[in-house]
Amino acid sequence: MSQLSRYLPPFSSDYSGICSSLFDLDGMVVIHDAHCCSMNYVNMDEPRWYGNKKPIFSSGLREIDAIMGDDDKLIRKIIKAYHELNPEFIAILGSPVPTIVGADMEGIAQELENELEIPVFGFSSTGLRYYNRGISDTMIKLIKRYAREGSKVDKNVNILGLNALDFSDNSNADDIREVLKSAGWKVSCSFMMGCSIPEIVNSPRAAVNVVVSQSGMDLAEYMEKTWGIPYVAFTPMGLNDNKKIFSMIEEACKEGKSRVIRSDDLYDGEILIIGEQLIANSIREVLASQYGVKGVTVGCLFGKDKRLATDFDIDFKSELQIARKLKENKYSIVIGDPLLKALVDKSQAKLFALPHVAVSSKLYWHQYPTFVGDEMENFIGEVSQTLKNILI
Amino acid sequence: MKKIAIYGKGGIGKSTTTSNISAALSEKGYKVMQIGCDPKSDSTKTLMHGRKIPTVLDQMKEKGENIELEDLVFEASNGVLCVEAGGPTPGIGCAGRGIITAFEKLEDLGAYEKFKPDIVFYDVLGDVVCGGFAMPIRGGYADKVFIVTSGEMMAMYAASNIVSAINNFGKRGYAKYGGLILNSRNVENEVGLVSKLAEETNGSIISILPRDGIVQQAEDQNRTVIESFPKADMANCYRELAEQVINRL
Repeated sequence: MSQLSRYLPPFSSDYSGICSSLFDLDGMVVIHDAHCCSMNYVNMDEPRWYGNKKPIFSSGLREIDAIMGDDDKLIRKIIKAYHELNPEFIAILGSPVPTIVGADMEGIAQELENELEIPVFGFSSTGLRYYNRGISDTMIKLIKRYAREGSKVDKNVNILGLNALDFSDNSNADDIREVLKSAGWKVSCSFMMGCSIPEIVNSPRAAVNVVVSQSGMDLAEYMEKTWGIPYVAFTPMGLNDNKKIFSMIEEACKEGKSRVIRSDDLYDGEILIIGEQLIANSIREVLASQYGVKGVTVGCLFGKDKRLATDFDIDFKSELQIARKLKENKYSIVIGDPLLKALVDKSQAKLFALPHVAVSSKLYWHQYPTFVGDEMENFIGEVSQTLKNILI
Repeated sequence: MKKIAIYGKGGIGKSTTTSNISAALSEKGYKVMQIGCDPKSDSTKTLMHGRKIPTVLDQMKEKGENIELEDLVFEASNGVLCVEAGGPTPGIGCAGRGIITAFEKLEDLGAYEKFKPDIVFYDVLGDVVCGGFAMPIRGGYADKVFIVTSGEMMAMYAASNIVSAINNFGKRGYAKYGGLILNSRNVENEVGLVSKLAEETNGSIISILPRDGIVQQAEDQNRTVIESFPKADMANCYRELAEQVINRL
């Protein structure tokens, strides 16, 4: 019962992360489900769905198919759809029912690839993991399939972990690319918003990878190990702090050494940021470096990534755990999705609402903040000012 | 590292045979891991000298995310690394899904990378009844599948079904059919019957194990024949079988 949520909805799951990652590419995506998971994705998780035509299908899995394990039926359906749509590649995704009955998604993909002679990706997504795992798996599968080593191109970066579930479909993706360009960096490949397969092919030629969400970390490590590309983990945030990222990229490039941007002397203090680890880290960094506010803890909603977290960051595994933590009344300010309000209101803390698609879906995605620029700078400034007022 | 799945009808002697092959290979200096894939979790009993080791699924239930490889992998006195996947309470739950979960956990924890076995045996319950029990045949798992059978009709029927499953997965480039292990039950014309089965399944009998009471005696001592009666003819039969298995990898 400790996993029961009274106020928070289920967060976006791995298959939504995969679909969202593949959204910009000319592939055909099939979720092996009974329409429910695909409906979740298109209705709830993908801000770009409305007004777009993307071939994302449900296999229409029924009880008898699950019992009989009729892979051939699924394969026949996909082959038929392929001949009508001629996609560049096909992705087939697992969901909870195929997971329980042990459907062999990789094997089905291999059969289809043998038959159709185009790339077919099988994802053993379960619907039981968070979206960031799906995004991470997708990027790694794509890079292993398509990327080709080439000579390094100076002043070129890849962006890793850009996705609509963390950044929505406002100007965030463009802003992040723009802020890098303004500092003289050319973006080779923007994994996975606004990217193409030719860009993925050439991505190993970049000098540095900029990781903007925790879903990009595994790919960053893979590219570092495979092609020696160092990474810098930081989400461009606000106005002034981005200068730091430019110098870090320069240093990473020069020294060939990866960096996670994080101030020293942080401590478990007055502010709790509940959300995605790297975005929360970056807000914390602006608070620390611009405003001298170092008592900031990150409460990770989608898994605590040891590569990014401080020792005192919290891995929230349930709503109950969040409620209990807040009831300790340790924190004066909480930054997080508006749906956390019901929990925060039971404590003495004040909530600064920061919508997150993977949490509240379409409820607030039109009020999504722009991370680069005035809006976030002012938001963080207001948090800092409020804290000062509280502490006086 | 080579991975081998041993299938066959329930009660045909898979665990006894697999444990003796593991013991024989360990004796020759191979680092062997034996993974029991049966909710009864008794595959490694003789290797562990009667000690019932905790299963992967039980440990996952008990320890949650704090589980470590040391909770799952146990070294027998002859050096064989023993694992039992485990399964649900009889009559409820889903044993097939249990196998998948146990396999995924071993992989997540990097069992193969840490222990670096030369040979891994998957000792799999009965027939390939569902996706879970087909897991050892799938990509990334067994390279070869050997089937234990006698000349009894139901054992051969099960063997034939298992070969069908292996062939079905052939399109996906998975494990190859390695052959039949004839565990004699002294059925009339047993070798002839099983030879015919081998022919029909495009396989061969890789070894014939005679029926010998010494196997039961060793089991009564909670030991493999290799350990209890190392000089017995039956021990040599198992050594020869182990050699044949290695030769076919």
